[in-house]
Amino acid sequence: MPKSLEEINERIRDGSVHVVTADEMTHIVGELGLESAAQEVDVVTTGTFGAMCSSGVWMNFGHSDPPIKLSKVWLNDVEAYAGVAAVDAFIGATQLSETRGIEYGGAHVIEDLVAHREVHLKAVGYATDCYPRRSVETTINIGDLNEATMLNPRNAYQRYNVATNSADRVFYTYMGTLLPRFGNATYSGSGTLSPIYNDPDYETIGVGTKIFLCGAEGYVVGHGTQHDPVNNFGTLMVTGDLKAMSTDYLRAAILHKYGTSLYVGIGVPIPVLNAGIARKTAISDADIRTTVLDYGVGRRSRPELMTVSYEELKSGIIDLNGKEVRTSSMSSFFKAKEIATELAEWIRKGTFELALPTMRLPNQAVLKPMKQLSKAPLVREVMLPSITVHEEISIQEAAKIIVGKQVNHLPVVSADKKLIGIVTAYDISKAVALNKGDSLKGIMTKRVITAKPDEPIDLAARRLERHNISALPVIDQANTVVGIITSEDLSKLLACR
Amino acid sequence: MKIVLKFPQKVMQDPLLADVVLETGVRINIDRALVDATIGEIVIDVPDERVEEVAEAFRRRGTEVREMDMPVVLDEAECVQCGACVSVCPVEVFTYNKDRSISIDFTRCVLCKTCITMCPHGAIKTAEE
Ligand code: SF4
Ligand code: SF4
Repeated sequence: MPKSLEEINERIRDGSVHVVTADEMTHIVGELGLESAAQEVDVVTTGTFGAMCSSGVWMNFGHSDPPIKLSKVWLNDVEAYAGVAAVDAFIGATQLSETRGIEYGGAHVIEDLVAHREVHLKAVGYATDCYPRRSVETTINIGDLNEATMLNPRNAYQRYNVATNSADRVFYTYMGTLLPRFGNATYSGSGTLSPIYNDPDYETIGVGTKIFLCGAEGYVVGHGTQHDPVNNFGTLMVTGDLKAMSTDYLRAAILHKYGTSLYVGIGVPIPVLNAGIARKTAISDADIRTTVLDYGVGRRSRPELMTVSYEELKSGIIDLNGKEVRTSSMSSFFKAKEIATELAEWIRKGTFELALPTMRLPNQAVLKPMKQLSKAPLVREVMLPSITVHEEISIQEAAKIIVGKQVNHLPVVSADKKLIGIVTAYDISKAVALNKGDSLKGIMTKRVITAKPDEPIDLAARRLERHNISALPVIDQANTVVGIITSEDLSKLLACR
Repeated sequence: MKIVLKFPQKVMQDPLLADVVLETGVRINIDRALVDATIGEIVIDVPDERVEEVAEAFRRRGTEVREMDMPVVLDEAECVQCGACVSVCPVEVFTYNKDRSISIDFTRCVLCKTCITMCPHGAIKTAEE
């Protein structure tokens, strides 16, 4: 027998409501069966607590005397966007401090505000007849703000990809530190507690749905940016009053060598209106699968290595094509459960009633990549033919080639044309000056950093920069040199983009 | 137990570790070594019951010896129990409990510091900090 939302709210008011968390619901449906579970349980609470970069806060500072129309504003040296009226501004979680860089960002300002710490405000404006003042500096705390409204464009990702790294160096990403040669894998999302996975058809989550947001009551504004329901990557745009939030459920974070982010706690209640909804809320970690991507490859389409379930991820080890790889969660399942439990408690106590959405969220939207006017050029399109030398030639002969052909780098190849080393004009002149024997083999660099023909030049440029070198031989699958790409040529190219 | 050895410059040339191993017969595990022009610092792991003996042997050779109790510490107020630290630690200091909170056994730590930068919440610090 289906229930109406009004009946559920009536039970909340008279204290007879039956609320469980989404992970408990999985077991209840298993034990009682769908029909009885739908009858028994009125509300299922979900939760998630993780890095949600696309988060921020709208603030209104009130007017100074004489008044100023802010054109730029900084809070603890983190710039907030002030291009809206005179004293409104939006601070985003990932904006970095202009003085402290990655150590402090918008997320920290938001946490400081919630923790009632004083924040330094500096602003400039251009004088007008009605706003004559040009600059202002003061300290504020959250109580001094007229409004502090969190508005997060993209939160509560339905699930997320797993990150690992095939390369032979450490990668520092927004998914944390990825150790070389598949040394670990990191994931995010709360699996069985995932808000959207418990209502994948957006029957109860929609515009105006009341939620738990960082310890306060919040609302779903609509679908989030990059909402991709077709591929189970739905997102939500959410809002709530920052003044009512708590640092128990809102934390600034630093992702090493990447930037700052905000850990946001969200809980969404799902009214069990019928057996269909009960069935969807019974979803378990084993039912939710996601894809392991290789972040060692810096392209938009990272290679997909395999798919895994959240159950496997949570076991601590995944089997990646025969290799045991240890897993870490970047989001906190422990906190997610705490949030689902807290929200359930609010509902039981009668302080939180449910609301049906005033509008459904799109469940067919298609995600588009960025429209780029010109495609990033590939190494193959810009590389130059390379002169290679045989390993057996003498230093003198190599010197002649360098002078004669006016090149700085000579890839060294074996008899079967495979790349085995590289020498530079500098290596040669040093060898000549120090009278260091005459075999090229003895002075060449054996561990050659290379490029591949089909990678974008930005990746090659980043590699040159990281290793502080000035050229990369371009090699094909068989390790044969097919060209060379130098920092000089690359910087010319990149400069005109 | 882990102990920290600090060598002054003048004894750095001597094969101190080898001498102490030969004298005491204790199998010493080197966790970490940091040697530069002015100072040498080595962290070694010694079976608990032989620590005094080994420490004494080093002291006699002009080495400063101190016990390394907790190389890194956790700021519980900052930790959100995510477990980002779990997969990067080479000696499995961090493990998930059944309720997905994190158990920590810093006594095994070899102070590689990977978890310190991995932790998004700055919850792990070296004991000196
Ligand atoms: S990474 Fe940091 S916050 Fe997360 S569990 Fe480890 S110590 Fe705690
Ligand atoms: S410093 Fe290294 S060894 Fe010590 S706990 Fe952290 S990751 Fe493990």
